[in-house]
Amino acid sequence: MFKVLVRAFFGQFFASELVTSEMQLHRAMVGPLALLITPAVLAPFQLISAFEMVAIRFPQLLDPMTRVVATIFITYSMVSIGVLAAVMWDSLSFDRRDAMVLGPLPLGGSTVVSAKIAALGLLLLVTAVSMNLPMAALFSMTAGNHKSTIGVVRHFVAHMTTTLCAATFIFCLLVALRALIGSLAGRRVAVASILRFLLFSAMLCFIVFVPTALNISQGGRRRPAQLHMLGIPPWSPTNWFLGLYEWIRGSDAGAEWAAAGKQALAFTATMVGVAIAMTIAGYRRQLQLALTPSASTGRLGSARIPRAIAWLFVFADRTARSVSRFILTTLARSSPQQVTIAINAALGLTIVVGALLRANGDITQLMRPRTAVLWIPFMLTYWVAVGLRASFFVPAELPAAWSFRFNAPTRSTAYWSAVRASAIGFLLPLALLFDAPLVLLIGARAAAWNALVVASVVLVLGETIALTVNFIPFTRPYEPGHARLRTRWPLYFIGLFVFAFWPARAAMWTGGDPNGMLHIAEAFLAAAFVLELVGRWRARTWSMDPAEEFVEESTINVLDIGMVVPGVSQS
Amino acid sequence: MLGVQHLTKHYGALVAIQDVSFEVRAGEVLGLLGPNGSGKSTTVKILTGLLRQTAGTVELDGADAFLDLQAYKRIVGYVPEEPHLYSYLTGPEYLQLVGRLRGLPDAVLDDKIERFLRLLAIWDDRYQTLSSYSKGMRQKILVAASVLHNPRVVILDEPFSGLDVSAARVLKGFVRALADAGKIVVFSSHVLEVVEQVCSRVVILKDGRIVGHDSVANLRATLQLPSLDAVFASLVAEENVEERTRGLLAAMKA
Repeated sequence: MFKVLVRAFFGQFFASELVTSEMQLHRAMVGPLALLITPAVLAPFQLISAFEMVAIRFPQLLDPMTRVVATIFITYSMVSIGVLAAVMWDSLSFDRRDAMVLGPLPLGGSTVVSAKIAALGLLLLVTAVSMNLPMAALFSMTAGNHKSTIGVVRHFVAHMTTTLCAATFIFCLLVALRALIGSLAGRRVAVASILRFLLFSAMLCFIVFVPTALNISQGGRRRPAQLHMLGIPPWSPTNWFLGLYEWIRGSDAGAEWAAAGKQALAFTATMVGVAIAMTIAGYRRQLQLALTPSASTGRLGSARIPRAIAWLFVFADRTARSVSRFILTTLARSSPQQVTIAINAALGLTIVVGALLRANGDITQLMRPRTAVLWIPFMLTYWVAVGLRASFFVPAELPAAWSFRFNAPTRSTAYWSAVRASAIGFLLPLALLFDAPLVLLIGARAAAWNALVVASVVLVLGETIALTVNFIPFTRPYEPGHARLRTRWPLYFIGLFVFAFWPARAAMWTGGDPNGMLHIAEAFLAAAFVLELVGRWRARTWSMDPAEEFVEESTINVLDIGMVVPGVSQS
Repeated sequence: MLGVQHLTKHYGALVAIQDVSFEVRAGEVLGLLGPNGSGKSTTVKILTGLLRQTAGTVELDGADAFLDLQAYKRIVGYVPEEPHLYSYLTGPEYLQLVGRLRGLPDAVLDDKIERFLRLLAIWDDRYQTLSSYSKGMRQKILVAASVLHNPRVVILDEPFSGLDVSAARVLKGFVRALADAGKIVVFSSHVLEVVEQVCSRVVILKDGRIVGHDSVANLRATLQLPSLDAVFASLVAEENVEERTRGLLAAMKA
């Protein structure tokens, strides 16, 4: 029974609403692992030549470089396991399905909890070993190339122990956090989505951060060669685990490293204990919460501000108001949609962080509007808009879509109007929120004028999104590969310029002149007006009905309420 | 009058219903009966316009109802067999969604929603999301949503599923009252007692074909059987019931 439960819990980590068969489950398992393992395999190969160059030309840098590279691998291990845990967030604890299936079975609580802990441990072991073993094997051979066999073995042991401990620490931290949030916040999805956004951002920022973190300056007659790396704060867990690495590797200044290493081991063991204790303590509570979910939808769940903004754009059209309210409520309360937006927002944040890193930490550059900061709200808003559009294609409780098919008018321009209003209602508060910190950097007046331009760009973005969606969001089955990123990526690239770089550049050209900023805003409003006309004309062809009657059985998908959706293959 | 003429539906090679014809008049409750897989739900989904028939017609007052599907849907209310709802919405939010999609003015809608929630005893749960509702509570929301717009045709597919005894009694009365108010009511169910109490006439389906179509009293008289249960058993010819029962017991004990 224990084995059966462990297998079931392990399978749950990879299951989702979009996974409907065993084969898709295997694909879903392979996908994230491949994504995370690939950099682990490629990184050591990239480092070999740099390492050899340092070993030959700057031997005095070999030791610090090993340390720097180890820091990168430790951070990679922590961030990648964090992203994996974020993707599998809901399965890190018990949910309603567990309660419904396991509740009636004659199973002891200890069996269920220990099976869940074993499955979590198995997941950690499989993923952490898969991600770190190739790196450890290749890097220890590279780093130990100039040492004895024992040195290579010590490198390998140090690398594996350290990265596994680092991964364990982060994973257990997130498991404990999941159990805590599950116990306190019930099924509130916003907290989980924000956490996912932060973890995705951390992963992407790590990828951007690594190339800019290292800087080797060649020596000369008067000064030795030097290796610079952006400083890591002493309280950072990365530093504890670096201490562990150096301690096991047996590097110089052993006592100092040993203290940090022992700290790392102690914190890891404590965190494992906390995660186990939280899982055990939260078991009953979470099962109860799963069966009696939160009575209140929460403040964020009501989406009052976005709904109020959307209302301004749908006017008295009841159908449009109803659909826009549905869209915004779904965005506020449904996890799959929030995750899609979070991933894209993380991309935007990564670009911002990457660009700021190029300023080499010179914070004074941020005070000058011409140099750096005006484009940040545009960039973040653009990527949130990309995520928002993508989320429209992710279904929310698909069988309930009959409510629209049966109750809503078959043809109506209200659907286009609702999508446009919802997009603007969702994006505008966020865009202004992104613009708000500029007050501290460039002053209230300049930030306010920039906010005006950002708001006008949001209108164009909303109109553009509405032009590219021709159904009520979340009510159609997800079509794998519909984004066609391989062929359509130039469009996203062009969008980056149109909605982020060029507006910011134009704003900078004006030098903060109110008239100039007003002209830019007017230009975007004119563009929005044209898109509005095109949208209204195009909306006449919107229909709830499938575009064509199905012909062949292989091209249809019959939902369990009997609706037919052409063009979607049977799963 | 709602009429169905020679209705046929194929799912690929599978024939769901074949040559089904019946009529429902205003002020009448027509019961759709049949075992699992007999074609009841397919018939209901075609009647609601959610599914297109392979052949045959659905007529309203003698004209093809699907010629103007939107106009037809405007006068139809429907309670589906499965309570598929957006579980992250509250009960009132779901009813507002449906009411506004049907174009009801907000003032009227809010008043109707409050009255329905109070009468169906779910007013106290109005701030909870549907995910926390019991099956019966969800069913009540579906019933309320189906009649919010005061439809002329009401199609009910297993509407009493999950309802407690008192709620079922209230709704049985409500179904009869709908007919008394001149509505056209189609009532699909497995529960023969309820059908016997509520329906004016019944259509019994088996393997996608009509095997019986008359009032309950006439069917009983014609077949000289004491109850609708006996009529049903006779018409759908449930064979080897005892043998299958014994088989089930044996399988359980094996």
